[in-house]
Formats: sequence, structure tokens, C-alpha cells
Amino acid sequence: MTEETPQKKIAAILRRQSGHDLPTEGLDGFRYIEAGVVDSMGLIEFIIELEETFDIEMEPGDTESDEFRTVGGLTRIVRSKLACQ
Amino acid sequence: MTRIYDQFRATLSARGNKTAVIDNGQPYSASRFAELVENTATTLSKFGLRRGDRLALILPSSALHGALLLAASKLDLTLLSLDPETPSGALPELVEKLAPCALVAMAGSRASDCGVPVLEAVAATGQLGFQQQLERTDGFIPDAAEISYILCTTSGSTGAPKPITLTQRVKLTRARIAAETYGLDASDCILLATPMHHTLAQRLFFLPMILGGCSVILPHFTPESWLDTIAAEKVTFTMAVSTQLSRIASFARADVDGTRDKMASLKAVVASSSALPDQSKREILALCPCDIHEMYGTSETATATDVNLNKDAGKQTSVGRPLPEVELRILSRDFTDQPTGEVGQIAVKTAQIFSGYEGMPSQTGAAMHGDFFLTGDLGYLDSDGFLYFSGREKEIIKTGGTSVFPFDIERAATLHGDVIEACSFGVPDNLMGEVPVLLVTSAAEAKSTRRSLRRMLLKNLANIQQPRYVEVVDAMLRTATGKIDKIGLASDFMERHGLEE
Repeated sequence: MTEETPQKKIAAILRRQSGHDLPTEGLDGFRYIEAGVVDSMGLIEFIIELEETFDIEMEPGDTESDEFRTVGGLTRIVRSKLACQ
Repeated sequence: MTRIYDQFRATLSARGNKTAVIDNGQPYSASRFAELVENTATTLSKFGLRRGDRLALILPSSALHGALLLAASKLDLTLLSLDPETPSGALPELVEKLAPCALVAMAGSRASDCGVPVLEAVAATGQLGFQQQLERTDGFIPDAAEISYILCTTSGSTGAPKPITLTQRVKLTRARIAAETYGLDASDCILLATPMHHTLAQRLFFLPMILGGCSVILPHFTPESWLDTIAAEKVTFTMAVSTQLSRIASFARADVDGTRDKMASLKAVVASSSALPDQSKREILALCPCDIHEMYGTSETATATDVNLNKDAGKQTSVGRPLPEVELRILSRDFTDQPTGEVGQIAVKTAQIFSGYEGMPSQTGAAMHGDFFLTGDLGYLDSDGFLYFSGREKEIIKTGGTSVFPFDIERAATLHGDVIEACSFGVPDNLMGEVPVLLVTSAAEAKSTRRSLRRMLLKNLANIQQPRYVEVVDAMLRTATGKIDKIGLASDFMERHGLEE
């Protein structure tokens, strides 16, 4: 598995859920919740998609963190969970 | 004044040598149990207790506990029924607050640290003893026509426990109404499997005492011991906490026919204290060869509504219609009556009402609206007058400016085939104010249950109701009566995940 793979998968989930394109540059720092790509109502479905795609479990400490709000931060959370498995 | 003790004595001649009490398998004939009651009353008198004195009981469920209830009735004592599981560190504060002049505890317990004289109950002999008589410094004898009989605490599953005052008259009224509602008489053998410091178990004990029937005391509930006791003692009636019935339904899956055989003597079982999850309800109805009732009530009001799930077709999600001598209102926030089908606060007017919260007149006043007790519970009535329970008002999750009822989330979760029990509550969230959490116990592997449950909830709940966090736990934390301890679970969840209030 390459390092980009989780990020690509996360971006694909975001695109699918929102129906919008994501920025081609600066994706790492892209704040997808503040940008409205995932709203508060769609957050649960997004978390479920993440958990099923990566076979991980997101905990309050993950989703409440500021890291969770950027694509790059979320990628790091996912990678760290994958590394612990 | 009518005493419970007098009504018990009135049944003795008709009882003959019949068994009056079975304590953990040990039978007491009516004459032997009456002797235990008289000996206990004599010991309490010799110790120095008089009419109106407060006596704390810190005892597990037992025949001696029952004898103390009747002896205290005879002597017009006020009993403080305390949870024997109360941590020893918390006991002195509780005793100081309730100010009993003595307490009864098991020999060898830490109760002697509380600074009040102790009467010791000896487990091996079932007898009561004391080292020194009570030193009385006053000649106080209350002249009130009606003395508080029992101060018991609310379950505390949704807030700090409050001491409830009940008179003997109200205890007898509660027993009479229960006997009328469930058609109980001297032929009944009634099981109590919840702790005797709680009002539900006390009612289950008093019923056969005043009807002339037999009380079966099960000190420690497990599904297996509950079923074995019913089979061995040919129990005809019991009220069980809903969570106990859920555990029995789960336990019985391995042997449905064998379980049903063990319950052959039962006429009726009442699910009490909280709503029975839908799956457990279906399983219990299929399992039990008797009527299954669900009820709604509080410690302050006793049973207010009842539904016979076998007979009231189409009302199985209801908690029933008001009992005789009970009136219900569904109130809006400004205390006007809600229209049929609209959720509001459940208010109860009943002959079974408590006398107040001990030493808390302002809280007692705040809990009443005229003659109606404000339960703090939410629900609605249908056009046939059946009540539907929606949850505790203080448990409502305020998320994104919308109120979400945890009960709706729990209900949806228990529709999942593998979910045994569900508990939902709110936790703080930066964005939404609060977000729902759902904890479940599962009959299947945790990971697969969690995944399929979340997918199912996505379909069956509105977006705003979706639990942010779903966890499959090994077991639910419980209160002394076996109810799910929502406050404890929420606090544990927040601590585990480093969340702050």
C-alpha cells in the first residue's frame, strides 16, 4: 500500500458523498467540513464510509480533533489506525 | 390506623401450616414466619425503639428483612431502606443526612463506622441481636395520626437519588391496587427478585403477606436462578425489571422449550421500571406461557398504567391505560393539556402517591402540579387512552437546536436482530452542542454488529437522530434494581474518551 492510497480513498469518498470536485492543489490542508463538502448531517455517513473502507473504528478522540477536519489530518489518523492493526 | 402488620396477622388463621415465605429456597411456615416477626418486634422494643423512631436497614433481601418490615409496621417505626451495596465510604454521609437513631446491618459489616447504634443480623440464624440498648435522651413520642413508614430512595438511574416518604396506608393502597389489577389472592406464590430496599420488591413482599399467599425471595438474580426458582416454588406471579426480562430472553435462546417448561406455573409477569426492548418483548411473549404486562410508573406514584400484551392487540408499543384510581395528563411546558398524539410531560394523579421527598419541601412542591405528580417523563396518549413512553425529559439530547429522544434511538437499535440491549445518551460536541451516543450489547461478534447496526440506523433514523458514536460493550452498567445506569455509562464513556462536560 503506498502512502497516497488512504488519501486518494478519502478524497473519493468525499467526492462521492458531496457530488463536488475537490481542490487539485493543497488537498492536504483542505478543510472539508468548513468548506461544506461534508455537513453535520452527512458526517455520520462519512464516518461509516471511512470505517468500512479502511476497516477501522473512529473514536471521539479522532473525530473531535482538529486533525480530523483536514484531508491530510484525516489521512494521518487513518494511517495511524491502519498501522496499529 | 390500618397497619400492614395487622393485615398480615389477619391472614394467619386461614393460612394454617401453609408456607408464608421461601427465602433463597428455605421455607418458613406461616407460624414460623409470624414467630420471626414477633421476635424481631420484641428485639427492636427491647433495644429501645419506640413509635416514630427512625431505623435504617442496610440488608440484602431475606426473610429477616421481610420480618423487619412487618415488625416496624407493628411498632410504627420509620424505616430507611438503604442499598446494601452503598459504598462503605458513602454510608456515614447518608446516615448523617437521614439521621436514623439506629441501624440494622449484617454482622461483620462496616456499618458500625457510621456512629449510630447497630443491631446486627446474623445470617446463620436469621436472628437479630444487639450489644447495648439504645440510650434515649428524650421522651419524644410523635402524636401524628399517620407516621412515615418507609423512606426509600429513588433508583438514581437518571439523577441523584432522593428519599421518598411512604406511609403504611399508601403501601397498603399500592398492594390492594396491584392485587385488583393482576387478580391476585391467597393462592398466589409471588416472586421478588429485586433488592428489598426498593419499593417494587417491598410491594411484591407485602402482596402475599396481606393476601395470605406465599412470598418467594430470590436474593441474587441471574436468569438461571430466576427460572429455577419459578419452577421449584411454582411461582404464579412476579414483577421483573425490564432488563431482567431481556437477560432471561437472551438466556433462553439456547433452550426455548426447557425454559417454557420451567415457567409453567406462572399466571402473569409484569415488566417494570423501564420499557422492554422490542426484540425482548417479542421473545418474552413467545417464550412465556402466561400473560405479559407492561406498566408505567415511578417510585413516587407506583404503577400508573398497565397493558396486557397478550390481550391488548395493536397496543404492544404502549405502556397501557391508567389503573383504577389513577388519572393521567400530558402537559405542555406551560402546563396545558397536550392534544392526543402530542408528546408532553406525563403527570399522574393517584391514590398511591408518596407523601413527599424527606426534608425537601421545595423539591416536593416543585414535583407537583395541583394533585398531579410531575414525573419528568415524556409521553403521549392515543385516541383510546393508551400511554406511549418517549423518555426522560432530562435525558433529551439537544443536538443542533433539535431535541432527540434517546428512547427512539434505543428502540431503533433493538430492532437489530443481534442487539440485546441499547442505551443512548448525549455527549458534548463543539459543533452540535450535543451528539447522541449509542451503546449496545450484542449476541453476535461486536465488529459485525456495529457495522450492520450503523447501516440499519442510517435507514431507520432521521439524520439528526443518528448516533455519532456506536459502541458494542460486553455488559451494561446497572443500578441496584438492575436498571441500566445511564448516568454511569455516560460518565464512563466520557472518561474513556477524554470528553469534558
